[in-house]
Amino acid sequence: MSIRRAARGTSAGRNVLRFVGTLRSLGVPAGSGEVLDAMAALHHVNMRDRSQVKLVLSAALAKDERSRSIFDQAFDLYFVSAEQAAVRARAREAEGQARARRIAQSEAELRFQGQSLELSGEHRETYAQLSQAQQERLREFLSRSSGGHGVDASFLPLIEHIVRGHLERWRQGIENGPGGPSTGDEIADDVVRMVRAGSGSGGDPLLYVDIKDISEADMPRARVLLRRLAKRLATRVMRRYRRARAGDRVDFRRTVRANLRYGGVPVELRFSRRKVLKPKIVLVCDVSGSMSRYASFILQFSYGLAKVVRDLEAFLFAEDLERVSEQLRDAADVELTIGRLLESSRVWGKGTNLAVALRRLNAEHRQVLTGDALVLVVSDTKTLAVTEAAAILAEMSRRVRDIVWLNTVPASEWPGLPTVAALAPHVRMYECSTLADLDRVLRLTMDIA
Amino acid sequence: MDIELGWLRTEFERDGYICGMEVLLPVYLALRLGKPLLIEGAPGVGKTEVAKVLARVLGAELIRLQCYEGLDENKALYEWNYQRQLLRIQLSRSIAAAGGPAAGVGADADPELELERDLFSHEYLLMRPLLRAIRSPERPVLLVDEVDKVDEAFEAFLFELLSDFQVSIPELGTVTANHVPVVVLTSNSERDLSDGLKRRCIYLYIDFPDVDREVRIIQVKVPGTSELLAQQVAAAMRFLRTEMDLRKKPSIAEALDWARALVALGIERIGEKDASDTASLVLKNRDDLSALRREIAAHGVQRLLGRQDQP
Ligand SMILES: Nc1ncnc2c1ncn2[C@@H]1O[C@H](COP(=O)(O)OP(=O)(O)OP(=O)(O)O)[C@@H](O)[C@H]1O
Ligand SMILES: [Mg+2]
Repeated sequence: MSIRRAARGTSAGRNVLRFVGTLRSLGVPAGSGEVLDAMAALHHVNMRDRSQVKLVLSAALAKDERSRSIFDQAFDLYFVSAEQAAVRARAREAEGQARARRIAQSEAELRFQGQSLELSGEHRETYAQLSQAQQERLREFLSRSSGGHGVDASFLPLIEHIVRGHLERWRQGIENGPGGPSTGDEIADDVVRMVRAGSGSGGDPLLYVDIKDISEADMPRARVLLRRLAKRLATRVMRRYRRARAGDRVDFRRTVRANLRYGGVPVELRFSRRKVLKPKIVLVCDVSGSMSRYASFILQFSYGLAKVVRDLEAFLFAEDLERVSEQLRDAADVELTIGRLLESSRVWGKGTNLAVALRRLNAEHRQVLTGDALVLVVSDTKTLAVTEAAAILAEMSRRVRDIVWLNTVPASEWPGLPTVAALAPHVRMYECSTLADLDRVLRLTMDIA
Repeated sequence: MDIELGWLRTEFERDGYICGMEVLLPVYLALRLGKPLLIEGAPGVGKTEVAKVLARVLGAELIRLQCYEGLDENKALYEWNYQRQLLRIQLSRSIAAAGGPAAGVGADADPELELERDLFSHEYLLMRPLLRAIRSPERPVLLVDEVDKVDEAFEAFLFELLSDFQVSIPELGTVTANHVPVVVLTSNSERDLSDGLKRRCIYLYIDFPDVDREVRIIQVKVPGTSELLAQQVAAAMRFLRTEMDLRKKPSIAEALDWARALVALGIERIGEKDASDTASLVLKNRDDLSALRREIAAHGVQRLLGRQDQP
C-alpha cells in the first residue's frame, strides 16, 4: 500500500504525513516504511488519547536519543488544541503584517542618491530579517557611496550588484541557520522554528553550544560529556580491532572440504581472515587567542582515543609550532597537562601563521608525515600567509593518508571567509564548533582511518 | 497478532513486570504490526526481561541468540558437525581399505562425490538459534540479545533474515519460516545500529523507573520487603543515578540485590553503617564506591535516602 493511499480519506493520516514532514526538516530520518508504520499504528490505539498517539508515533518514527528528544518537542508543538492553534495563527498573521511593513520600509531605507534600489522581494525579506546592526551597516555603505567623490547615477547598477551580493550571502546564511529552509507548510515551519529556537536538538543541550561560549559553571558538565563521548567512540573503534583479530580463525567448513582427499585428517587448515590496521594520527592545533578552548577539548578527546590509535602525535601552533606528543604521552592527567601546555604557550602571542608552522612541521618532523598518517588540523583558518599555507597543504596532502580540517567557525559563515576558500580545496574540511560536531567529525575520521 | 492492549497489560502485571504505557504500547504495536521490537536502554533496566515475559505471556518458546563480539553465521544460524563428518570420512576409508563396500555407494557412482553429498545432509547439520526459530513448528519468541555487540556484516545478515525469514543453505536449499517469529532485539547502544535495521523495527527506549515504580518492582520481586525499606532503596537509586556523577549507574538488578541483602540482614531502616556495609552490592566500580563513602561521610544517609528518612 502506498503512503498516499494509506493517508487518503483520513484526516489523521494526512496530519501524520505533515507531521513527518516537520520531523524531517528537523533532521529526524523517517523512512517511508516507518511512515506506513506510524499510520498503521493509529488504527490500534484510541485516537482521542493524545498520550497513546504520541507513544505509538514515537515508537514508529523516533529511534535514537536525538530523534526522540526532537520528536517530543515537535509533537507537543504540532498537535495542539484548537484554541492554541488559533493563537498561533494570529501570531503568524501579525508576523506576516510586520514583515510586509519591514519590506515596505526597506524600500525607503535602501536608497542610492535618492533612488530606490531594484531588489527582489526575497532579498528585501532578507534585509528585513537582518539585525539592526547589519541593516545599519548596509545603509551606511549606501550613504557613504552616494556621497563619494565623482560618484554619479551611473554607479547605480554596480551598487545594486554589491547590495544583492551581500543580501544573497545573508539569505543563504539564514537558510542554513536556525530557521532552515521553508517546507512550504506554515504550521510545519512554525513548529520547526520553535523547536530549533529551544534547546531542541536532543541529548544534553550543552552538546550544541559553541565550545567557546560554554560558561565556567558548565565546564564540569562539559568535561563529563567529553569523557563520555570519547569513551563511547573508543569502545566502538576498539571493538572493530578486536573483531578483526578474532577473524584469524580456522574455518572448519572449508577445512573439511579441502581435506576430504586426505581422509579427513585436517592437513591444510583454512582460515577466515580480515585485517584492520590501527590509524596513525597527527594533530596540529591552533592555540592562538580564542582557539585555545577548542584545542584543549579536541586534545582531550583525542587522548581519550589514544588506546585505539597506533600513534598519536600532537603539535600546537600559533606564530610557530611546538611538538607536545611526549608531554601528553607521559601525562598522568591529560586534562591538567593540556591546561599547563596551553598556559605556557600564551607567550607566543596572538598572531597565527600556519605557513610558518607547516614549514617547521615539514622541516623538523618530517618523519611523522608518512603515507599512513592522518593529519588533523584544528583551526579557524584565520591565519597570515594563507596562500603559502595552502600551497604547503596541497603538497603535504599528496604525501599523507588524508588531511582533515576541523574548522571551529560555523559552516554558515564559511562563504564570507576568503581563508576558507583558499584552504578548503586541499583538505577535508568539517565544521567543528560544538561537542556534538567534535563527536561526529572524529567518528567520521576513525571510520576513514 | 490479535491481542488486546488491556489483556497485555494485565498479563505483564501478573507476570511481575511492572511498567507503564510507555513500555506496553510499543510492545503492543510491534505484536500488532508483526514487526521486530528493538529495545534500547541502560544496562539492567529490564530489556531482556521484556522478551522473557512476552514468551511466557504468549505461551511461546523463547529462543535466544546471545550476541557477542565475533559472533558469526556458524554460531547463529547453523553449522556442520565437522567432528562427526571427520569420523564419518575416516570410517568410510577404513571400510574401503578393508575391501568392504563404502556405505550407500552404488556400483557406478563416484564414491568421493557420494560421500560428500552424504556429509552435507540434515544428519550432520547443527541448528543454531536463528535456524531453530525459522524451523520452529509453533510461533516462537526470538530474542536477539545485545545486538550492538556484533559487527556490521553480521548485522546486515540479520537484517536480511528479519526481512524475509528464509535462508538458503547451499547444500540443502532454501528454508522458509513456518511462522514469522515474534522478534525482540536488545541493545545497550554501545554501537549505533544501522539505519536499515532500525527502520525495520518498532522502537522502545526503556528508561530507569521513577521512585514509585521502582518501589513496586522491589516489592514484587523481593517478597518480604517492607514499604519503608522499598521506599528507601528506591530513593537511594534515584539519588545515585541522578545526583551523583558515577561511572556506572546502578540498575534495577542492583536495587533488587540490595533489597534482598537488607531483608536477609533483617534491616528495616537503612542507617549509615548499613549503607556503608552493603554499598558494594549497589556499586561495582571502585571509584564509584569511594564517592559514595565520601557522600555518606559528609552527609550521612540524609541526601541518599531523601525525604523518606526523615522521622
Ligand atoms: N519493570 C520491571 N519489573 C520487574 N522486574 C524488572 C523490571 N525491569 C527489570 N527487572 C528485573 O531487573 C533485572 C534486570 O533486567 P534485565 O536483565 O532484563 O535487564 P537488561 O536491560 O536486559 O540488562 P542488560 O543490558 O545488562 O542486559 C531482572 O532480574 C528483571 O527481573
Ligand atoms: Mg539483557
